[in-house]
Amino acid sequence: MTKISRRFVEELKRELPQWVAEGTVTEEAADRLRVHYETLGEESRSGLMRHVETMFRVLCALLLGVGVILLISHNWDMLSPAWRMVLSYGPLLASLGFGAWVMVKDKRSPAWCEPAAILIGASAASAIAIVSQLYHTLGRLEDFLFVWLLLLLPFLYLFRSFALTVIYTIGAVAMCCMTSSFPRGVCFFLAVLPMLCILARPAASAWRKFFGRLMIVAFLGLIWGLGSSFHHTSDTNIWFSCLVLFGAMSVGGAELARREERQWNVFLVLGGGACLVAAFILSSISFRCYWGRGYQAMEWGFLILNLLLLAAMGVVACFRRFRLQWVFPLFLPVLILCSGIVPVTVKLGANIGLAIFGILLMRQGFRSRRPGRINFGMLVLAILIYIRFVSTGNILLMGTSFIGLGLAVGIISVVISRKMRKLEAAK
Amino acid sequence: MKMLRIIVFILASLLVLFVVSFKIIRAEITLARGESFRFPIAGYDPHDIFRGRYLAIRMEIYPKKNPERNLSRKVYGNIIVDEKNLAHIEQLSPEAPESGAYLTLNYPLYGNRFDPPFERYYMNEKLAPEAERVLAEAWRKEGSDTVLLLKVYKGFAVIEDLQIDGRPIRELAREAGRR
Repeated sequence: MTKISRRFVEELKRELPQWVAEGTVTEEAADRLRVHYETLGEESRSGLMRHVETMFRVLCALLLGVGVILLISHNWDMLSPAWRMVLSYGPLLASLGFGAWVMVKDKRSPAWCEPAAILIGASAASAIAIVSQLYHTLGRLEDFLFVWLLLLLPFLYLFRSFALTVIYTIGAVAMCCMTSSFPRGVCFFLAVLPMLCILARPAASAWRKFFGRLMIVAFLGLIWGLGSSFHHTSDTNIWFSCLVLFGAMSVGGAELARREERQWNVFLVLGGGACLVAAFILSSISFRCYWGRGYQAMEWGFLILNLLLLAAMGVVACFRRFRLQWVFPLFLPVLILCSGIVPVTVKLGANIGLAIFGILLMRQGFRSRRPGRINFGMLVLAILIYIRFVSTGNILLMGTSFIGLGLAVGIISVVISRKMRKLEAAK
Repeated sequence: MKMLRIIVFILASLLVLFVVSFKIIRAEITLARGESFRFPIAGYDPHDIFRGRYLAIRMEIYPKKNPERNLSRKVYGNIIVDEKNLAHIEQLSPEAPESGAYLTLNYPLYGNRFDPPFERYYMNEKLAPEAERVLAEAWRKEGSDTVLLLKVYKGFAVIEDLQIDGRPIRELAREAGRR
């Protein structure tokens, strides 16, 4: 159901007498509309109150959790080990008790589940930390995170908490950042991924969907980049990994946008944007890759995963109508694969690809009478020309090209606007 | 469905309690039944938001004999004691020695140096800066011996104390704080 703003209801109430006077609606219809929208407005207000209530409870749980962790980090030397045990078990048992109450009463609202999950997460962290303090064990952060994340996994899915998912994902990615615990970090990230997908599902609320998707994009990118840079010896492998990932995001995003009947989403914008930026960078780089040389299990695993993703993208592209956004996601990783045979393939392919992409975009813009697309196509060509002329150093030629392109953009914009105005007038 | 969720919750809660309790029980058993060793150390004092202040310690326990790079992550180092009563790791092996004390150590996935079993000695945030000063003075002084007292039982070790010239660091830090 569409959310109704209070301002809309107020405006409607102001407008209704005028509509009745004009005869647009009858007196009875106006009354029915007034009652209907006032009820919806009330429901919307109570929904807002629920959100505020949830936010306050989450904030309360966060403050309590951080407070407990800080109290424990003080290291109470004056207390006996037995008292410190009480300090460690006390908050843990209390939060588990609260969680059990939420479970038994079957309270599924975020107002209860979010604080329960956060409190359990914080008290488990503090319990592990206090034992570490007492016996000076688990000195390394990755060991601490490993135990903590492992214990929290069931609670993550039991409470389906957004806040805990965010904290958990950050923990998993932090583990990925540490070279020695990268595989374990990836396992934790894969474990939290279904939860992120639940958050990012089309039926979720707008802000949950946005943050869920943004986190998937950001953290997948980070893990892919880190994994490639930790374990791959050549730049080519890193490029290949990242391009396949961004390509998969772009193609998957386009598919999601089609199903949601919307034009854009985070995956499409960031994945597609990253592919385009990569194409510009690759248009100036020449390299040769050495596939398979000195690979260990992790490198082979990454390569197979990337090839599978690339194949999946190819399958999607075959079964769907071709889209212009798919040029780079499908085209660039294949070029990098080919660079093992002919080193110049990537540079040449990226330049030709960008030029074709710019021209096709302009053509599409002309056909559908969308000045935005035409200008974007022009921009792609302009950047390509700039990059190419910068490498040659011919400022005069560059200046002339830009003046020409600028004039072309201006003229096309004017022509399109006039045509659109004429069409509107004809309607 | 509700019943299943409650059962999973109970199992998950028991697992949390078990892990925390297991860590405590294992450490207590080691402290009660373990053999004491004095390992030489070096250190400094950073800050960790999770666990208050601690002295970051660098245990000098690299094997006397060159270790063979083992494919498994877990290795066993047998402990020997020199004429100064300081403990050292003599050799690393893929299997636990049948006789004598040993430490279970982890090789990182990448690189050739194994991870020392202890890297932190936790202290109250007021005492830690004093302790750091005391440690720095001890290292500057010729012939001063800074050791980590460990109890070792079946490959598992627990810190008993950190001592400078036979005196606990907490005691020395408190004294320095009063001055």
